[in-house]
Amino acid sequence: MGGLTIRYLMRRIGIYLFTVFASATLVFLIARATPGDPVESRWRQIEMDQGQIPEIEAIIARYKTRFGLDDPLSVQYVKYLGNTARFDFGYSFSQFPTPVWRLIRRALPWSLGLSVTTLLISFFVGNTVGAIFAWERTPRFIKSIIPSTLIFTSVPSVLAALFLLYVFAMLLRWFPLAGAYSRDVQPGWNWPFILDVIKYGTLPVLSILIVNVGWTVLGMRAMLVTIAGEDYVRLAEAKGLNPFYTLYRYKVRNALLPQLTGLALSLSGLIAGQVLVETIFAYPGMGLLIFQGIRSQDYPVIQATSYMLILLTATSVLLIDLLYPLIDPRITHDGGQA
Amino acid sequence: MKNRNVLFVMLLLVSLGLLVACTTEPETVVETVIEQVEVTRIVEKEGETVVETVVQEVEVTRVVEVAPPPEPTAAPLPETPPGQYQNALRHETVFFDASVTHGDPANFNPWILDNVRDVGLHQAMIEPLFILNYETGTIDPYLGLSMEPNATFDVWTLKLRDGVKWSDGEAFNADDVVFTVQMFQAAAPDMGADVARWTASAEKIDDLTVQFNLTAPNPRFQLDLWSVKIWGDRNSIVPEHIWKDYLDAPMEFTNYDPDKGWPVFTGPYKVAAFTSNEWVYIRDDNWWGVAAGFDDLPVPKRLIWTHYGTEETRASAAINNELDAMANTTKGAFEAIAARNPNFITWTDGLPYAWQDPCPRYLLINTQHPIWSDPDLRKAVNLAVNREQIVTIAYEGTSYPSKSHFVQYGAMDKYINALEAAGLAASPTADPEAAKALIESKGWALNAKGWYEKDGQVLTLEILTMEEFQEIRRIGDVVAEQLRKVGIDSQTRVLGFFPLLGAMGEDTAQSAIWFLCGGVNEPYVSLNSFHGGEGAVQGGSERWTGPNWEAYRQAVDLLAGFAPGDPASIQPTVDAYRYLIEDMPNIPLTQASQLLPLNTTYWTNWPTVDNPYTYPATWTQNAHLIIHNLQPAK
Repeated sequence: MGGLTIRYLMRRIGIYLFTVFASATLVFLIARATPGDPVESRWRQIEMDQGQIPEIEAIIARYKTRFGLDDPLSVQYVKYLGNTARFDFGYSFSQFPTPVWRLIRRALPWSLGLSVTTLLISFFVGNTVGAIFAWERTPRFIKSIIPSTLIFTSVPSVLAALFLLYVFAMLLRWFPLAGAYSRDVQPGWNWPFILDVIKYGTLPVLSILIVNVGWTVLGMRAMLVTIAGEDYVRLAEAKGLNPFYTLYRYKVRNALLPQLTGLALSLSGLIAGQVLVETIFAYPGMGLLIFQGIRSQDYPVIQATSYMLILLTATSVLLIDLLYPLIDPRITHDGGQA
Repeated sequence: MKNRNVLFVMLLLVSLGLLVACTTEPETVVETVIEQVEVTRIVEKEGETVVETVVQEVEVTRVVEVAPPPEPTAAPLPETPPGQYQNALRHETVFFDASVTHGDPANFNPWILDNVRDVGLHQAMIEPLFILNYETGTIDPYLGLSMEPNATFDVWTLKLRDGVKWSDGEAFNADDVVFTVQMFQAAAPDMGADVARWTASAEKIDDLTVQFNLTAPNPRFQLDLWSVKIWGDRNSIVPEHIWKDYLDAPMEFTNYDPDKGWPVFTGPYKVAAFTSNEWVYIRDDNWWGVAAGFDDLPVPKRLIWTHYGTEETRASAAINNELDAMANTTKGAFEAIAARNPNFITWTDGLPYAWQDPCPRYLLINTQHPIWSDPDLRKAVNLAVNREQIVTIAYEGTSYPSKSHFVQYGAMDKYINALEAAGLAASPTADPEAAKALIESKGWALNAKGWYEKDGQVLTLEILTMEEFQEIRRIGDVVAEQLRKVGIDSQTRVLGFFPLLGAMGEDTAQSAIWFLCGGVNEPYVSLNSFHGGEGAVQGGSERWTGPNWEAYRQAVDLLAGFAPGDPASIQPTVDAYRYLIEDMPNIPLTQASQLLPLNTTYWTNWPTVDNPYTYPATWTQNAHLIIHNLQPAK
């Protein structure tokens, strides 16, 4: 089975389940380690915005009972684990009686779209530019241009977002300032909506892309420099193979493997980076949902969104681990290298 | 080269000639006209020489100025016909700033905690029964005509306006009011908790009259439960013919079904569309108010509330004329906007720019803390605080020093003036020497580091501030600096709102910068904040106790019996306030401010200090008045 064994598969899935369980437990504990009462805090915050709320004590008491916050911590934990395993995240504090899953269902596709688009573009552009950068036959002037494209690598994505917003949305007005689609289109699988989504998503994607792509470029370049001295590369060159063929077939293909691992691991980082970018562009994804959840101390939303991110990252890493032997026949999990 | 110069000069002359020809200055022309002139001549008549005057026609040539033909008037702006308001043009649309967005934008139930009320629902659709006027203190009628109590304030009679209709054409009447009260009684405290507490029963007298029988006397029944006081009327009346089907679980009713025309309210707009960050409302030309003679249709055909994320994005939208009314903005952002788009105005023309928010800021002190249990030390802090300096530094001049705990609206003037006359008002400036003298009179002495110290203990005051509120953080920093200057080792500790509430509950907490969203037209609600409630052993987060607190509670209880704004309540207010000053569990600092930029490019007649028909907040329900008053810019 392409280097995979049942034993390895079981062990790997066991680690995966433990990772998810431990992370979910941490999320539960961290949320409750914060001093103060989230329900009371949220209602007092509303009082600050909207003036005194009569009968606020009774309202707070009702909410605490409704959300099980009166229960001992152990009871809350057991209930939480059971519900989370069934993807039943309960109701949102701040938008009761809206179930949390409805909020996630609405937000997740936007974030996935943003992340996957950014990842794919970053992967292909970054690796291509990295390969050109490292290739000895690349003209010198092109090599001198490439480093200038990496200047945004050291800039936080939030600043990149503000810069792009100022230039392309405010000054040039090429792209909209905020949102995910315009009020004039009907959401659904129709071209006006799809084009609108692309238009609205361009700046958020670029904000994350220009910050992240540099790392892929540098990673690919470093890998190619290492691989250049390998025997099989020297042999290919000695055989007089086409230099471009050597680059593509012998160098890039081998350099891609660690890049793939990086791709999976960068998914959670990307989503974390998206929190601020989505907030700046009022983009209705998981990042904005997390931000709103934290702002309104909405336990169920914070727990559910964190859990979904953990699950997403752990699953991506698991998939890459399982796919490795299929991508590289030299890697095997049946007890040694092929 | 020479030819080129000649050509250039000729072009210049031709251009000048065209320019002159195109100017609208009066033209000078020579014209010849026949004029009648009087001529005096000497003639001989019947042998006598006489002087006579006759009228003679002569040709006269003269130079006259002829007014240029009138310029063609600008073509009228295109108009969107009825039925197509969803695509109304920019000059027919008002864009409002939604400072928050909502995870469930399609839920129009007004009682959801983070609901969509303030993104247009209660500004454009939910009309209130009454609106409190901040300047006069009067409760102005809207859907309700009047609400009168009996002599003991335990029976109130509501008269409804005749001719009000729901947006689906059904009549709005006493049945809806009674139904809503009964729904609240069944669903409290999730909705209408205060109505359920105070209302024993609501009876329909006739289609336009409802009698409320209260559980106890309440002079504020109309103001607190049925009027827009701050933000909005929480107890909105709903249409019985729709909500009766959801009486079992009214909180779970999303109140949205475009096929049925839901949500249904009485306002002059209907929900047309929404996205993840935008809510669009279009004008309902069949609005009841026109036929009932209540008001004309508002001019804007479309209203849009848009959430733009951060202040930077909002400012960009304002500069690009994509926003007409903004939520609270920093002075720096407003100045950047005004520099790029001079059509933006604010409440005042020049500093402080801002309108006063109804929640003044103050310093609360834990009166049970071992050091700060001494009222004289708290008074020393009061003397050390320079309120004018706080306004200058923390607010950059965009607010006012507080004279008392009360918001400084016109309706509160009589109370604040009475406090000033009684010598109980806060000073805008500090008196550091008096502060030091008071501290030293309690046995404290300055140590080598310049801090007051007694029995080896340094006089410290930690001020808790809120991470989420830059304004409160800044106030805390300035106050701490002022206290350090008189020898109190004061520092701020910044906490998120959530942990801040926890920290304030700890015995070791010393002080915090806090807010008092109290009375807007009367002092009772503000003063009641430190009362502690029936059976309490301490008052407020200050944990105020002792004989003065007991006397204060009695004075506040007495005040509770007066109707809001009753002149007879002035002296009891002074009496109660005297106890507060005597013990000083908290120290008023500044008025809170809201700097709200308003765009006059497309719309004029926004409320300003010179045109205060209402206040300029557009997230609160008084925005009905703003929308009705807006006029298109010429």
